[in-house]
Amino acid sequence: MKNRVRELREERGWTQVDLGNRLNVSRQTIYAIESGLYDPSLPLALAIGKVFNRAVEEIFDSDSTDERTVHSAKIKGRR
Amino acid sequence: MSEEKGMLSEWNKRYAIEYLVALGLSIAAAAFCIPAARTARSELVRIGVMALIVAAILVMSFAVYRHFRRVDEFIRHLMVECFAVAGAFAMAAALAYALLEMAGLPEISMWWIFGGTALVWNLWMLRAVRR
Repeated sequence: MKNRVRELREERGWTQVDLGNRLNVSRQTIYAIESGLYDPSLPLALAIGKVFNRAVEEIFDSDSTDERTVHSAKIKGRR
Repeated sequence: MSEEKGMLSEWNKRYAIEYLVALGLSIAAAAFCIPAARTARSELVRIGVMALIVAAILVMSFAVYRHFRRVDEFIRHLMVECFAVAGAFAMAAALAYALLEMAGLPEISMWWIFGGTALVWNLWMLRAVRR
Protein backbone atom coordinates (compact mmCIF):
# COMPACT_ATOMS: atom_id res chain seq x y z
CA MET A 1 0.00 0.00 0.00
CA LYS A 2 1.37 3.43 -0.94
CA ASN A 3 1.58 6.03 1.82
CA ARG A 4 2.73 9.57 2.55
CA VAL A 5 4.66 8.79 5.72
CA ARG A 6 8.07 9.73 4.29
CA GLU A 7 6.71 12.99 2.83
CA LEU A 8 4.98 14.00 6.08
CA ARG A 9 8.03 13.04 8.15
CA GLU A 10 10.40 15.03 5.95
CA GLU A 11 8.06 18.05 6.01
CA ARG A 12 8.58 18.12 9.77
CA GLY A 13 12.33 17.59 9.49
CA TRP A 14 12.20 14.36 11.49
CA THR A 15 14.51 11.41 10.97
CA GLN A 16 13.18 7.85 10.85
CA VAL A 17 14.54 7.40 14.39
CA ASP A 18 12.66 10.52 15.58
CA LEU A 19 9.38 9.22 14.16
CA GLY A 20 10.09 5.74 15.52
CA ASN A 21 10.65 7.15 19.00
CA ARG A 22 7.39 9.11 18.79
CA LEU A 23 5.52 5.94 17.82
CA ASN A 24 7.51 3.61 20.10
CA VAL A 25 8.63 1.52 17.13
CA SER A 26 12.02 0.85 15.55
CA ARG A 27 13.68 2.74 12.68
CA GLN A 28 13.47 -0.51 10.69
CA THR A 29 9.68 -0.46 11.07
CA ILE A 30 9.47 3.13 9.81
CA TYR A 31 11.70 2.25 6.86
CA ALA A 32 9.56 -0.81 6.03
CA ILE A 33 6.34 1.24 6.15
CA GLU A 34 7.76 4.11 4.09
CA SER A 35 9.10 1.81 1.41
CA GLY A 36 5.85 -0.16 1.21
CA LEU A 37 7.46 -3.40 2.43
CA TYR A 38 5.10 -3.56 5.39
CA ASP A 39 1.54 -2.34 5.97
CA PRO A 40 1.09 -1.29 9.61
CA SER A 41 -1.64 -2.70 11.83
CA LEU A 42 -4.73 -0.56 12.44
CA PRO A 43 -3.52 0.65 15.90
CA LEU A 44 -0.14 1.69 14.43
CA ALA A 45 -1.79 3.35 11.40
CA LEU A 46 -4.03 5.30 13.81
CA ALA A 47 -0.99 6.29 15.88
CA ILE A 48 0.75 7.50 12.71
CA GLY A 49 -2.32 9.56 11.87
CA LYS A 50 -2.31 11.06 15.36
CA VAL A 51 1.40 11.94 15.23
CA PHE A 52 0.92 13.76 11.90
CA ASN A 53 -2.48 15.14 12.93
CA ARG A 54 -4.09 13.66 9.81
CA ALA A 55 -6.81 11.11 9.10
CA VAL A 56 -5.51 7.63 8.27
CA GLU A 57 -6.99 7.75 4.74
CA GLU A 58 -5.04 10.98 4.07
CA ILE A 59 -1.80 9.10 4.77
CA PHE A 60 -2.50 5.63 3.38
CA ASP A 61 -3.73 5.20 -0.17
CA SER A 62 -6.23 2.36 -0.29
CA ASP A 63 -6.38 2.56 -4.14
CA SER A 64 -2.83 1.25 -4.37
CA THR A 65 -3.59 -1.82 -2.26
CA ASP A 66 -1.95 -5.06 -3.30
CA GLU A 67 -3.89 -6.97 -6.01
CA ARG A 68 -4.20 -10.05 -3.76
CA THR A 69 -5.79 -8.00 -0.96
CA VAL A 70 -8.31 -6.47 -3.37
CA HIS A 71 -9.07 -9.91 -4.78
CA SER A 72 -9.54 -11.40 -1.32
CA ALA A 73 -11.79 -8.44 -0.31
CA LYS A 74 -13.93 -9.05 -3.43
CA ILE A 75 -14.28 -12.73 -2.57
CA LYS A 76 -15.28 -11.88 0.99
CA GLY A 77 -17.79 -9.34 -0.36
CA ARG A 78 -19.49 -12.02 -2.47
CA ARG A 79 -20.07 -14.29 0.53
CA MET B 1 17.52 5.47 25.01
CA SER B 2 19.84 6.31 22.16
CA GLU B 3 18.38 9.08 19.98
CA GLU B 4 20.49 8.02 16.99
CA LYS B 5 20.02 4.26 17.12
CA GLY B 6 16.36 4.10 18.12
CA MET B 7 14.17 1.59 19.87
CA LEU B 8 15.62 -1.60 18.35
CA SER B 9 19.04 -0.88 19.78
CA GLU B 10 17.51 -0.40 23.25
CA TRP B 11 15.45 -3.61 22.95
CA ASN B 12 18.49 -5.53 21.70
CA LYS B 13 20.59 -4.26 24.60
CA ARG B 14 18.05 -5.51 27.14
CA TYR B 15 17.70 -8.79 25.27
CA ALA B 16 21.49 -9.27 25.14
CA ILE B 17 21.79 -8.74 28.91
CA GLU B 18 18.93 -11.11 29.76
CA TYR B 19 20.04 -13.72 27.23
CA LEU B 20 23.70 -13.66 28.27
CA VAL B 21 22.74 -14.04 31.95
CA ALA B 22 20.54 -17.02 31.01
CA LEU B 23 23.30 -18.46 28.79
CA GLY B 24 25.80 -18.09 31.65
CA LEU B 25 23.38 -19.92 33.95
CA SER B 26 22.97 -22.70 31.39
CA ILE B 27 26.73 -23.12 30.94
CA ALA B 28 27.26 -23.11 34.72
CA ALA B 29 24.42 -25.62 35.14
CA ALA B 30 25.89 -27.85 32.42
CA ALA B 31 29.40 -27.61 33.90
CA PHE B 32 28.08 -28.63 37.31
CA CYS B 33 25.32 -31.06 36.36
CA ILE B 34 26.90 -33.21 33.64
CA PRO B 35 29.81 -34.45 35.82
CA ALA B 36 27.45 -34.74 38.82
CA ALA B 37 24.97 -36.81 36.79
CA ARG B 38 27.76 -39.11 35.55
CA THR B 39 28.85 -39.91 39.09
CA ALA B 40 25.34 -40.14 40.62
CA ARG B 41 24.40 -43.64 41.68
CA SER B 42 20.65 -43.21 41.76
CA GLU B 43 18.67 -42.81 38.53
CA LEU B 44 16.35 -40.36 40.27
CA VAL B 45 19.24 -38.11 41.36
CA ARG B 46 20.64 -38.24 37.81
CA ILE B 47 17.31 -37.12 36.32
CA GLY B 48 16.93 -34.43 38.99
CA VAL B 49 20.41 -33.03 38.33
CA MET B 50 19.90 -33.01 34.55
CA ALA B 51 16.53 -31.27 35.04
CA LEU B 52 18.52 -28.28 36.35
CA ILE B 53 20.04 -27.86 32.86
CA VAL B 54 16.57 -28.00 31.31
CA ALA B 55 15.44 -25.31 33.79
CA ALA B 56 18.40 -23.11 32.77
CA ILE B 57 17.51 -23.61 29.09
CA LEU B 58 13.92 -22.61 29.89
CA VAL B 59 15.30 -19.36 31.36
CA MET B 60 17.01 -18.75 27.98
CA SER B 61 13.72 -19.42 26.19
CA PHE B 62 12.00 -17.00 28.56
CA ALA B 63 14.56 -14.30 27.63
CA VAL B 64 13.68 -14.84 23.94
CA TYR B 65 9.96 -14.71 24.80
CA ARG B 66 10.39 -11.45 26.74
CA HIS B 67 12.23 -9.96 23.74
CA PHE B 68 9.41 -11.13 21.48
CA ARG B 69 6.87 -9.36 23.70
CA ARG B 70 8.97 -6.20 23.93
CA VAL B 71 9.63 -5.49 20.23
CA ASP B 72 7.23 -3.73 17.87
CA GLU B 73 4.85 -5.46 15.45
CA PHE B 74 7.16 -5.40 12.42
CA ILE B 75 10.17 -6.81 14.28
CA ARG B 76 7.85 -9.42 15.85
CA HIS B 77 6.71 -10.32 12.33
CA LEU B 78 10.37 -10.72 11.30
CA MET B 79 11.09 -12.85 14.37
CA VAL B 80 8.22 -15.20 13.49
CA GLU B 81 9.55 -15.39 9.91
CA CYS B 82 13.04 -16.23 11.23
CA PHE B 83 11.65 -18.91 13.59
CA ALA B 84 9.73 -20.40 10.68
CA VAL B 85 12.75 -20.44 8.35
CA ALA B 86 15.01 -21.89 11.08
CA GLY B 87 12.34 -24.49 11.97
CA ALA B 88 11.97 -25.49 8.33
CA PHE B 89 15.74 -25.75 8.02
CA ALA B 90 15.95 -27.95 11.16
CA MET B 91 13.19 -30.21 9.87
CA ALA B 92 14.70 -30.52 6.38
CA ALA B 93 18.25 -31.03 7.71
CA ALA B 94 17.12 -33.68 10.24
CA LEU B 95 15.08 -35.52 7.61
CA ALA B 96 17.81 -35.32 4.95
CA TYR B 97 20.48 -36.61 7.30
CA ALA B 98 18.21 -39.32 8.71
CA LEU B 99 17.72 -40.59 5.15
CA LEU B 100 21.46 -40.37 4.46
CA GLU B 101 22.14 -42.34 7.65
CA MET B 102 19.80 -45.03 6.37
CA ALA B 103 21.89 -45.05 3.20
CA GLY B 104 24.98 -45.78 5.26
CA LEU B 105 26.44 -42.41 6.32
CA PRO B 106 27.80 -42.32 9.90
CA GLU B 107 25.57 -41.06 12.74
CA ILE B 108 26.30 -37.45 13.64
CA SER B 109 25.67 -35.48 16.81
CA MET B 110 22.37 -33.59 17.16
CA TRP B 111 24.50 -30.56 18.03
CA TRP B 112 25.08 -30.04 14.30
CA ILE B 113 21.35 -29.66 13.71
CA PHE B 114 21.05 -27.34 16.70
CA GLY B 115 24.05 -25.25 15.62
CA GLY B 116 22.86 -25.09 12.02
CA THR B 117 19.37 -24.05 13.07
CA ALA B 118 20.71 -21.31 15.36
CA LEU B 119 22.99 -20.10 12.55
CA VAL B 120 20.13 -19.97 10.00
CA TRP B 121 17.89 -18.17 12.53
CA ASN B 122 20.55 -15.51 13.25
CA LEU B 123 21.58 -15.04 9.61
CA TRP B 124 17.93 -14.64 8.52
CA MET B 125 17.35 -12.08 11.30
CA LEU B 126 20.48 -10.20 10.32
CA ARG B 127 19.38 -10.14 6.69
CA ALA B 128 15.90 -8.96 7.70
CA VAL B 129 16.94 -6.07 9.98
CA ARG B 130 19.54 -4.81 7.50
CA ARG B 131 16.91 -4.27 4.77
